[in-house]
Amino acid sequence: MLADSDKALFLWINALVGRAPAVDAAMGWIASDYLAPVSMGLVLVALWFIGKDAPQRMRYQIGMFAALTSIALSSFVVLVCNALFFRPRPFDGLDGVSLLFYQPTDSSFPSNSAAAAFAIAASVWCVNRRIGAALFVAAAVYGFSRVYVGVHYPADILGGAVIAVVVTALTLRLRDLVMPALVAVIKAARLFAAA
Amino acid sequence: MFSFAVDYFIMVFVASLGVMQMAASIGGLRGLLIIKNPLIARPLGIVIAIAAIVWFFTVAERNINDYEGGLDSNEQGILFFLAVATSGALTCVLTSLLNWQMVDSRPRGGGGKLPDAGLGALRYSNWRHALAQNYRYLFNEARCWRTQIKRYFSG
Repeated sequence: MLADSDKALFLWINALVGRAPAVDAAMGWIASDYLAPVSMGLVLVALWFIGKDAPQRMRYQIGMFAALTSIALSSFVVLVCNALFFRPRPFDGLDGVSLLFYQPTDSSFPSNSAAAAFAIAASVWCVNRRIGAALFVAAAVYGFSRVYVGVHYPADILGGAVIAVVVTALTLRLRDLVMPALVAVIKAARLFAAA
Repeated sequence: MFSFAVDYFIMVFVASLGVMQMAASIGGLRGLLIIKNPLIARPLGIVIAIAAIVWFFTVAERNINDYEGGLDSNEQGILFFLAVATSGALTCVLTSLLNWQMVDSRPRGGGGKLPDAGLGALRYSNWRHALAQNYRYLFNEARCWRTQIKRYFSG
């Protein structure tokens, strides 16, 4: 039942392909493996510098490290899920899919790209609500574009997002364990006027 | 794959130059700015970042699988880090030259006001001076090295 709804929603979204060539081109860019990850990575770079004073800068820089940790752990969880459960990509399992992307060969569920994007958004949201909210919107658009171009079902994106949010919450819960090391790294970088 | 990686490196390198200018302007790190006016530095930084990304996507087809000439996530991560680090180093060197006269003249040590540590020092001085000041302060001027190191590692 849920799988049917997922497929129906996918087909409804994917049926939008071809109606507006400009939207198709934009979705092709947004869904690419490079635009969203690079843009979100650049937001993390900006986060390193934008603090107004030393405590705020430290908080943002710890948030950046939390984002990197969440990405790594989310990717690991996705890898384990993919090894345990293989779901074919929509273009392999359904007829009449309009594909605007290359054909990935790994499991469709959960989406690793969505997990990474939502991990960054969730981590940043914990240190700056405004930028974090903007990144959540960006991650949702990225996820939608992956469905639009035909490489993921909506549930794949949702699964990736849930994994990312849960892993980020756990990462933040456990951060006290690694906080002394993170703080030491940031403070050592101060010697080079780099943090 | 090689030319794809080079293009990716150039995109991240140029885009992060722009992002650093914008972010340094927001953070008030005048020592890192090429153009001091925030009304110019911030939009210019965004334009540079967007231009680099648009260039990357328009010069060639980028929806390519990693085993067909694209980059896998590990390669992307390493190249991203290298490009940002190179960009940061260039920003520090370039702005040190451009802002050569920008030095923190506030009294320091003894009973005077202590200079800011880390990125905070770049509010008042260029990176070269902030770096030199850090080491001079740590190794030459500190009366009690334990106290001074504690100051750099606190806050």
